[in-house]
Amino acid sequence: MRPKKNSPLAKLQEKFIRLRFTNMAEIDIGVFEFDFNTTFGLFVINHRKEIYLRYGARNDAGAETYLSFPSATLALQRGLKLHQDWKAGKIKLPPAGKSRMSQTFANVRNVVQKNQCVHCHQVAEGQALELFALQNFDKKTMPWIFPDPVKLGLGLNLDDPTVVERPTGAASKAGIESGEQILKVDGKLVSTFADIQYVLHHLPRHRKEVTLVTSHGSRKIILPSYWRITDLNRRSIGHKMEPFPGFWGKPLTLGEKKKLGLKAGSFATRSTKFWVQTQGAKAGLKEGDIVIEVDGVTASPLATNAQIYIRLHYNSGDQVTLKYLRAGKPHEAKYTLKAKPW
Amino acid sequence: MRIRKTILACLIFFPAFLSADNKHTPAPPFEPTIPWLSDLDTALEQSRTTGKPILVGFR
Repeated sequence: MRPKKNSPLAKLQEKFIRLRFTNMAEIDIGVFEFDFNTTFGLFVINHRKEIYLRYGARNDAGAETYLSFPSATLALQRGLKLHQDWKAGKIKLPPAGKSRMSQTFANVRNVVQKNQCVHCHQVAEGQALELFALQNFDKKTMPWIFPDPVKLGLGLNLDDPTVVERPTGAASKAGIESGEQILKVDGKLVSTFADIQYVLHHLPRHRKEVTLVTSHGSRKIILPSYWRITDLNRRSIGHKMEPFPGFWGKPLTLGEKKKLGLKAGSFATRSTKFWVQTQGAKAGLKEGDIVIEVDGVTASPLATNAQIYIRLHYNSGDQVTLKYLRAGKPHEAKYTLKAKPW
Repeated sequence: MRIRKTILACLIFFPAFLSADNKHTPAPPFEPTIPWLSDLDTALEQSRTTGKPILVGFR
C-alpha cells in the first residue's frame, strides 16, 4: 500500500511527524496495542503518547477488507482535526496505555537473541502463549480477540467504516438505520474501523449490552450470543492452541461447499500438505481430503472449521474420529490427538 | 602499450556499458520522498516543538 506522489494521502502525510517501525523488538505494546495478526497498522498520537485514533484492522473475509486509500485519507484528516481540537482544549484523551515492552514475551526475546527481526505475529504468539498459561484459561470463552462489528449487525461502509451501511440483527433491533455515523462506542470516541474494534475488544466479558452514540442519537445494542466469535484459524491463538488437530487445512469457500452439497455453516476443510507424519496422516488422511465431520459434529457456533473445533473441544490424549471426503466418497480416520504435530 | 590502453578502456567502459543495459542496472537505493523517523523519542520531541501530531506506522 503506497499512495501516489501528490495524492491527497501523500500530501496529508507531510502534516505529521512520521514514525515507522518495521521491527517489533523494542515496541511498547502497552501504548501501541493493536491486533498483531494484521498486516498493517497506523496510529495518530500526540507528544504525550496519547492516541487520537487507530487505523488498520481486518475481518475474517480478508486482511485488506478495511484497508483503502479513501479510508486511510479520512483517518489522517480526522487525526489532524482531533489534534487541533485537543490543542484547543476541546477534547480530552485517555492517558497513554500502561507500558509493556514486546520483549517481556519469551518467544520475542528468543528472536531478538538470534539477531532476527521480530514480526507482529510473533508478538501475537507471545500473547497467545501467555493466555494459555493462565490458570483460569477457558477455551470456550477466552481465545477471541478484536471482534468483528458485523456480529452486532453493523455492516459498515468500507471507505468510511464509522458509517453504518447495512444494519441487521442486533443493530437493527436497536433502531440503527442505514447512513447513521457512529461517533462513540461505550463512551469512547471512534474515528475508524480499528477504533470500533478496539473498544469492542476491551468491552468487559460480563457486559450484556453496549451503547453507541451515532449521528442520530444514543443506541443501545443488546449483545447477541457468540458476538465475539471470529475464525481463530487466521490467528496465532488458533495455531498455537493444543492439541494439534492431526492435519493442516484450509476451509472451503461457500461456492466449493455448495458444489459438494454441504451447508454454508458446516465444517469443510481441505487438508493441505503434511509437513510431518502426523497422527491424522498415520490414520490415513492425505493432502486434498475434505474433513466434514468430527465425532458426528458437522458445525459449531464457536468454530467455522474442523481444526479449530478440535482445538477448542479436545485435549491431548483424546481420541477423535473424522469423516472426510476423498474423490466425493466418505471415509473415516480414527486417531489419538497429540499436543504437537510431531 | 596499445594492449594496456585497451584493457584500461575495457575496465572503465565495460561497467558503464553493462549499466546501460537494463538487465544489469542495479536498482537505485530506496529513497522515500517523505522521510520517516524510526525513533519514538525523536518523534515525540519533534511533535512537541513543531506542534504537529505523530503518524506512527507498523508494517
